[in-house]
Amino acid sequence: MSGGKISFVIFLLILGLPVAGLNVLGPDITKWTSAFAERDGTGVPSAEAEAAIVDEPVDSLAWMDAVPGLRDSFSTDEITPERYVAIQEILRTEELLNPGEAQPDSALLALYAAARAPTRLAPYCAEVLEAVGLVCDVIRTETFQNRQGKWEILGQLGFIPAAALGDASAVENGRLLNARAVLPHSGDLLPANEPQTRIELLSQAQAFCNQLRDQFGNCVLSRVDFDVQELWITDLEALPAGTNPQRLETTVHFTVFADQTLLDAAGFSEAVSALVNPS
Amino acid sequence: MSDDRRQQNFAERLSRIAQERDEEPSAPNDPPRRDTSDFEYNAPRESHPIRNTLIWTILLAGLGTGGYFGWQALPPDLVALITGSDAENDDLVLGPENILETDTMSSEGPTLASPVVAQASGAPLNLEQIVANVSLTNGATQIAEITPIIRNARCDLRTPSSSEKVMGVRIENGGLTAPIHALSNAQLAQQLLANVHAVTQEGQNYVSDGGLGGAKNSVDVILTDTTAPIYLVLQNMGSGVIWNLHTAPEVTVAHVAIIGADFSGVANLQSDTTFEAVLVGDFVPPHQYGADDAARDCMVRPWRNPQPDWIGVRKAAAGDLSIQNQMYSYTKGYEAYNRWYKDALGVDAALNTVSLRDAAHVLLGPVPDSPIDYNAMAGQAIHMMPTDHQFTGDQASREAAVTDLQNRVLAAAIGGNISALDPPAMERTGQ
Repeated sequence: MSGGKISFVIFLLILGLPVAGLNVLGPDITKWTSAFAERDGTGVPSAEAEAAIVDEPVDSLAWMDAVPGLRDSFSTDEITPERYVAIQEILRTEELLNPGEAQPDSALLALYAAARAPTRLAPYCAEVLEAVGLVCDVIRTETFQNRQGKWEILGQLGFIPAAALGDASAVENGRLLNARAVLPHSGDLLPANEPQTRIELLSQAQAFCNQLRDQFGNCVLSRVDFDVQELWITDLEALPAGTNPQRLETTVHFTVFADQTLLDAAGFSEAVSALVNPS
Repeated sequence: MSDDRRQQNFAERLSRIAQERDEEPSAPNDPPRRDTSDFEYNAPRESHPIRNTLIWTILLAGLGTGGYFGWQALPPDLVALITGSDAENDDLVLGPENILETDTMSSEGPTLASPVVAQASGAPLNLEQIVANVSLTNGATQIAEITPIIRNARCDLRTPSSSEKVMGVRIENGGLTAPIHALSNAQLAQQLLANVHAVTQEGQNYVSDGGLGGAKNSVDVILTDTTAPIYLVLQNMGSGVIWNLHTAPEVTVAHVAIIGADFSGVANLQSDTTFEAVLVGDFVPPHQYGADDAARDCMVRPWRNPQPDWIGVRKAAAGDLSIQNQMYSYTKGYEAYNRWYKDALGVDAALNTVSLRDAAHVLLGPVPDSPIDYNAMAGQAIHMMPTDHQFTGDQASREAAVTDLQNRVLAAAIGGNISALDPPAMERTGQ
């Protein structure tokens, strides 16, 4: 076959195969397009559907859905998993039980710890409300027995921020940026794990966030981790009697929504470090 | 005349330009040269190897891709018809997704429901061929009492004597409902913890009916082998089994060893039969993938050896990588178990043993000439591994007792009402 004839056959194949395919698969293709239309909701809406659309309240924050995590960070209508204070308790078994309560079978202790965790951690919400929150709720708890045989109760207290977050809607080319920093402390010892200390640390974290808001236009105090560390007996012997053996290392997470052409993650981390721990 | 002079000058200039370009000038009177075309058969042929190769490559690649996916989309039976192979016996052609479990064959082996009787070799039998006066165990069967079996704490089963014949049953689950609920505090806590975590970690409402624990099953073990006193090894991996023994005349059961992953027991023992029980969890930690691959002392988790007719094995052969891993793990687990079994009992774990996933009735020995009497569990004592909570009685009362136990333990664990698992949100006041 000459080159010209071959080229002609190729041309016919290229032209004919899609036509043949459409003829063979035509009904199926109709089904696919129908399925796509149903899935995408692009079909012609009924009168009831149109009425429902009209009656649906306008969501003023819908624009936030374009950026994953933005609504959870900046919405102040509800508690979200993107804003919480992480609390930790370390307890001996007898501290897990109520005064005078008989110790249950050891196989049931893990259940006792898990079942009592929400009630134990809920009172910490009072501190969150005093420092940073308008509304606070225990959104997650986790418990386990550590190597020392003590029970560790971890909890996340979600909150609606009391402070203004700034205007995220004014940001162009916006991108969520996160950075964290360990709050500074004076002296050799970490701060004691006490209510007033925790309130002060939360207030300090919020103050830093306010400064970041002034600098970048918005800021969310997205997470505060209270990591409880217990001093060893040998450490306590060198300290005044009555020293609280449980100390707090506090890590704070900040989130801003910034123009990605003007600020990147590294730049934001540097700004947070310079603010929280100026050298 | 002057026009002729200009034409001549122009021709001379063209000639000079052509000479400078090393071209042969055309005579002024030559006919104008025509453009040639590929579609003119007398035109000179040009070769385009790169272009043609590219076209053919794209065309063949398109046809090949379309052909591949088209072939894959064909129904298996049509593929088998075209290729001339037998689809049912060619798992590779079928593909793993088309190898489906049946009523009697699961991914992990045969599942034989009552009244089918499993045996070591040969086709399953009907219960009426083996026993007479059948009164099947069920959830309403009234037993006399529960007699505790002290669990073997050293993993040292009695060694079979040379005159004894080791026979066994190895299953996952029993096919009859046993009239007992039994569960330990650890099992209770595990179940309630899952319910609590659903609230405290996943934000769900508390669901109290998240699976009642402690239900047990039963299996009829029919013994007809009279060649030697039987050393009977009853093994299972799933929830506890109450093994109900039925012995033909002249059959002697010298010893019963129960190896169970849950609290199990045995009924209708002969009066001289000795017995002991091993709880897998006393010696082997909860199973994780690959944990049982290595042989070790007291590896008592009774794995079953994958067989070619298992759906799982067929899927693995057909290329399902996940099932291949699973079957590999089963095989390695069985090898480790078999090593311990041979050390402990002196015989291979497959010898004289009926092995399947689920069974209601098992025959160990030849089919009797005439059906033997069925030993009902009703009115009998059950020798059983003791645990923290055991309940007898009818099905409804046992389930009510387990529910009540769960509620009491959960309330004590919370130290209050179930609503305490999800305390209300707090709002800032004042300011």
